[in-house]
Amino acid sequence: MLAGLTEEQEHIKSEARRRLEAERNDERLLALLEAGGAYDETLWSSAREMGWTAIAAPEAFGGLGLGLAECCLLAEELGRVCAGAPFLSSSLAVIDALAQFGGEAEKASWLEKLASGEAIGALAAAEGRGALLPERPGLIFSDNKASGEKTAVIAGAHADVAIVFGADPSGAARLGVIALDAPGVERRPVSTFDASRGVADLSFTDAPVALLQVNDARAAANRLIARLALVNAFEQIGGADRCMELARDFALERRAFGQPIGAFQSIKHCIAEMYVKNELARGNAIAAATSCIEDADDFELRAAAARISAIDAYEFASRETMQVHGGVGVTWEAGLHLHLRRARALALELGAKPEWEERIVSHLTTA
Amino acid sequence: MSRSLSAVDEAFRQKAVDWLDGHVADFGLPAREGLSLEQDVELARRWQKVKSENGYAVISWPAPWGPGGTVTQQALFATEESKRGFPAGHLVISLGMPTPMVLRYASDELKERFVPPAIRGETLWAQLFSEPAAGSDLAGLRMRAKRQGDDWVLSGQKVWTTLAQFCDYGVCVARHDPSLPKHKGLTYFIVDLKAPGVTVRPIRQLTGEVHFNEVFFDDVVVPDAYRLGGVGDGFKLAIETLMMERYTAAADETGFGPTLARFIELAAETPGVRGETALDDGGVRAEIARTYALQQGLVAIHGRALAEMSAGRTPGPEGSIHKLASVRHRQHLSTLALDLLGPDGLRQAPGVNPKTDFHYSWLDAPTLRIAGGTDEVLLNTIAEKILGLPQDHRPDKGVPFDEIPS
Repeated sequence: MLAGLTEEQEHIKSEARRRLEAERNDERLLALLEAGGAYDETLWSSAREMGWTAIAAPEAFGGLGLGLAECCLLAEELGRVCAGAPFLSSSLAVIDALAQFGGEAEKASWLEKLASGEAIGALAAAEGRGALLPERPGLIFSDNKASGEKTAVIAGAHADVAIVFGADPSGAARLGVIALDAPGVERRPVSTFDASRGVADLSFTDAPVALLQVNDARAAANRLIARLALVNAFEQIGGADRCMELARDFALERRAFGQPIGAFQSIKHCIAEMYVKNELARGNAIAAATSCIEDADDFELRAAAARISAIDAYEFASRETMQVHGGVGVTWEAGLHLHLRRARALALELGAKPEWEERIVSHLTTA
Repeated sequence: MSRSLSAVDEAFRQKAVDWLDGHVADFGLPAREGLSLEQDVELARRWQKVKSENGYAVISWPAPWGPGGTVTQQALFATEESKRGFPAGHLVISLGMPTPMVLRYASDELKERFVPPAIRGETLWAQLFSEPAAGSDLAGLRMRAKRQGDDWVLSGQKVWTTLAQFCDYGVCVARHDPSLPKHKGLTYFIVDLKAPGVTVRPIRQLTGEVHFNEVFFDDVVVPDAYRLGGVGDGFKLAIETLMMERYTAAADETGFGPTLARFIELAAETPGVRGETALDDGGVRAEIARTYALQQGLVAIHGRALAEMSAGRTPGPEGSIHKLASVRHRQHLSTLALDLLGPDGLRQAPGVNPKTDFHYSWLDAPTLRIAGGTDEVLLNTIAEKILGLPQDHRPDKGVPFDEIPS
């Protein structure tokens, strides 16, 4: 896949690129950084109009019933423009979880709304510092009521529904779905360096929860997260490619000491190193996507490799493109810091690198 | 990865793997333990003969030379062969670059004479390009070729000529006209390395081994029939030679060093500074994960290129990062492997196989970062050819060669 795209996939990708490029406006994104708690409404209405919200949702619920490949293609395009709303991937978590483990009632309540973009979804996993999934969740599900805290929830400030990782009173991990406008739910926006991500802490006090029908909730959550990490990897690669292109274009145009700075090896090599990292990340991401689509045993391992190489690629490219740009690169107006911020945010959102490195090593050493 | 190959290629791969597994004991890694380079090259020649008798030599070459397989199949075979440690690397140059150039440019008579013995491993061919004053800047070479009746007379010196001490023939580039700009005055020849006037002097590398040579030409007479391409086409043919083996050679994500599994094994059996064993050390674990991601990224890129070729399409340029990324990382990982051992890392095992021995792999790594295109040249190539960045400043551009300050 992605090497040999179908005609329909090519179409989705090129239409997405066309629309996103036409609407991209760094000033709008910069304003979002200052506004705090806001997201790019132009982007979100495009996403609904173009049917991007429906890509992964089942057809029975008004979705397009397309696969992960299409989500990845779209994510790559969103990454290129530093999209000012995280909802396509945050909603994907809920669509994915409900489609697999949701009861009929939950599916009926949410899937159609998520597919149309009328509702926004989020994944609430972390509790404070450390790994994305807490070892012993403090969020407890008892008698279909949830009590406890979830922190740093992406899109949590705007979401209508969340998949929450918690435990039953015996401490066994469970996954539940909670409507965020229900009584007993409180949200507090988190101030952050990439403001359009809608990060919020969520508190639950006897909030109504519907448990998902899954035997091993931790394993299911891990798989869900691995799929999101893969989609995010494509977003990271899109951003990294964009940073590389910006560096290249600037190096061709900017002259110093009588020649374009792109003729100096220190600059050429720096941009070539971006290429190396971006292609390694792409190699891993495509391999992971293939593995996911084929439902292969090695999927989570491949997703972890894709995630850590995509983190590397985007952070390197966003950092070094600023270096190539020199003084102008660190100005507010140039907007390169949008990528610097996004690269860091994406590197943290689904669990930081050490956690994903550990996933790889434990796979390799216990296999 | 292999699951994205066509059914025909997957069947080929499976059959090749079975066949290779049947020969590992006689020709693979176990058979090579403790051999001198000379013995190893001899083993490689015999292995080549076995391959040629079983349709696995020069797989992608058309009849009558090869079995007419595809480039994908040749690459698949080479990769499986490399995984099992067969000594095919010694023939990578002979069959990967000079011989295909003979096939492309020589007369039918010369092809008939030179190519079949090379395919059977009976003759070995060298590539004589680099010179003391022409490495990365190949077109700066100084070896002279003077026309003398129907012949040419070659004089000068080549260097870094891999395995020349065992080779019978070679292809070489020499300057026929120093009054032309440097790229234009070059011509490409077949040379007989046993001819009068040729002296091969081995170069001892930092590992103590002798893979490379200096080759001196003192008025060596070469018939005009041995000229490949037109007079003045030398640089073009040299580049063509270097591009030749792009996808046919083995792709080894470890940079021809020890595998990650071997590193993990070593860490598990070594006491840790931070943790019970080195494998419990968070820093070591992070390195393992990063190595895995890097190597699997390379495997994926190569697999995708094979799948593209298998489907009849041209692979993208991303394969060009392979040597740069894999060898650089091999140096890093080998250094780290010795670090795990602490002071006991000083104790060097007698092994001399870079695929199995971290000491040797560490010691040999600087050579690989230079051979076959330095890291810097590879980065320049990515920057210029893929990303469209300008060439470096070149004051000698368009200047007659004999007016360039040296």
